[in-house]
Amino acid sequence: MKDDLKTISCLCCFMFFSMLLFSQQVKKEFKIVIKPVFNGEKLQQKHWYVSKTGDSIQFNTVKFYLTDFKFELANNTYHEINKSSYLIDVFNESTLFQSFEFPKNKKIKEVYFSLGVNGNLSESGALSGDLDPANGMYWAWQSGYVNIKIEGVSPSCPARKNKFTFHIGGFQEPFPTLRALRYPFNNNQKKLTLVVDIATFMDEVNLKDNHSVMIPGEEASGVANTAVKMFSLK
Amino acid sequence: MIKKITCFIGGILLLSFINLKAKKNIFTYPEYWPKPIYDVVNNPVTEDGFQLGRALFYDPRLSKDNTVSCASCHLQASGFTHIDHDLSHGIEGKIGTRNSLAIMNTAWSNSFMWDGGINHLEVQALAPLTSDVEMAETLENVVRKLDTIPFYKDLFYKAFQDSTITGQRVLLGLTQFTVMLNTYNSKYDKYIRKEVVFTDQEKNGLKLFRNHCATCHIEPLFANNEFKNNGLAVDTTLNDYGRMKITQDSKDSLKFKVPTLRNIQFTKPYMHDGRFETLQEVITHYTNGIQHSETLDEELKEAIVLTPNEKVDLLVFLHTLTDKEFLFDKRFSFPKELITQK
Repeated sequence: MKDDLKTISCLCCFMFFSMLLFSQQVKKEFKIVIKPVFNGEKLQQKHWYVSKTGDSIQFNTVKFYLTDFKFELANNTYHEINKSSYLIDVFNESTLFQSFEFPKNKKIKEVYFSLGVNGNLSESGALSGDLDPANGMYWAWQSGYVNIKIEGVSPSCPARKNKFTFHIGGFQEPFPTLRALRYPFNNNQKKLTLVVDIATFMDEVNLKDNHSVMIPGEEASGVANTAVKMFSLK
Repeated sequence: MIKKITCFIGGILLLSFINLKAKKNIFTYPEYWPKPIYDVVNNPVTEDGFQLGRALFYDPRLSKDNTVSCASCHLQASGFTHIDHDLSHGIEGKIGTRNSLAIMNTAWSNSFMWDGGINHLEVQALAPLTSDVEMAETLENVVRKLDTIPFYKDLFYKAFQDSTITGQRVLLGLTQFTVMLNTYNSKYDKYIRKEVVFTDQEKNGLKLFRNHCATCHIEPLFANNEFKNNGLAVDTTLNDYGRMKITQDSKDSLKFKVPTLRNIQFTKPYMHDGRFETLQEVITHYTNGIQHSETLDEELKEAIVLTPNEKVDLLVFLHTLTDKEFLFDKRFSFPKELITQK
């Protein structure tokens, strides 16, 4: 009886370690690292920056959703990452990298993802994790996610207390604000560094005339086109 | 010894039975009704989830200054709406811009609020919760507040087998309560089920209703999930153009959600701005008060003609939509345990 137990225990241990070894062999991991900057300078909260148009600017909040990660493989098939919705808060370091696991033998050609939350998720009720409405990125009065939130102050901004507020969202036609991003990927890379240069955004929006967008619509859709230009590969 | 073992096994079986009962889906509806739009498969309604939602619904801690609960504007005895104001009011006596809608048979709605801005039952509660003129709170802060209350930790554990309180779980809990507020035991329902008979006046009222009102107020829910301009003149103190605010399409100007007529006897005042105090005024609006505009509903372009007697018959029929079993069902009332929980 004792011998039997020993044999079973040994067998279990062998299977466990074999599985562990096997899983490590067939999986590889790579990271997407997000690097928030202002004209190449590291972006910091409540730090003064000067835009190309000469506006002094300070940021309080810069948050956005990156979702629906998909990888095009060398054999022209796609590897989709289920439930990949990430709320990026540029002032919260823990949100600035995401890890993905892959079968080791698969070669990646391109990375696809979206800036914003898709319509299907926006119509799915109360969700959890990064999509939990308690994260403050959900509109209560008109259901849907705020895809991008940029808030701060600038003396150039004629609004109350010089505050600028961009809450960009809306998923319905004709003014959806979801924007697709796509980058080539060298299969030898272990990580992809995504630069988010907020200066690109601030240089294009004119704070004197355009400092507040808080509802879905044509204006939000236009600002989403500007926002997507912040993203580039290092 | 055998006795002890038998008692022990019996005890375990009893506990398992009680537990199974608590986890059983309790959402039901008449088999002859249409299939609900809200899919409870994703948020199964259990007794524990229902009781959690009930506590949340009646708890003023969901508002910024802990003074206003969902029930403040949604009173059970009046079909889960308020009756003492034309427009809803919130914390610090602030007045909103619309009359609160009755909460009934919510699983059959595909959008919520007078303008349909809310696309899913589970996120409906966010609107009043965060409105500056209603509860003026944030979901983040509600989670923080509830997290300090052992009573709620226990309720969340029972409902979700995990005491962690999240925004999603607050909303799912509230949904498990509101989705249970179903009314299908009015005299009308019993007449349809052939359990009672209608008087001649009620029968004539039903006939008139079907001829003049049923295009929008479709049986058995007495609503149609659509938005209509029903010929109300714009209240210039509000300038509320309804659905157009959401769609930004001028074709939706002055269109508002078609509300259910169930328990209409007790859900006064009527219309999105609570302009009518009585059902007589409502009927008179449809016969004599329609304001013509570009988006006026087709069905209302031709005047509805009713004799005084027909108006009375229609009114008598509308009273058959009252479901007192629902309006006074103790399961939906204030949970007394809340008083002692701090």
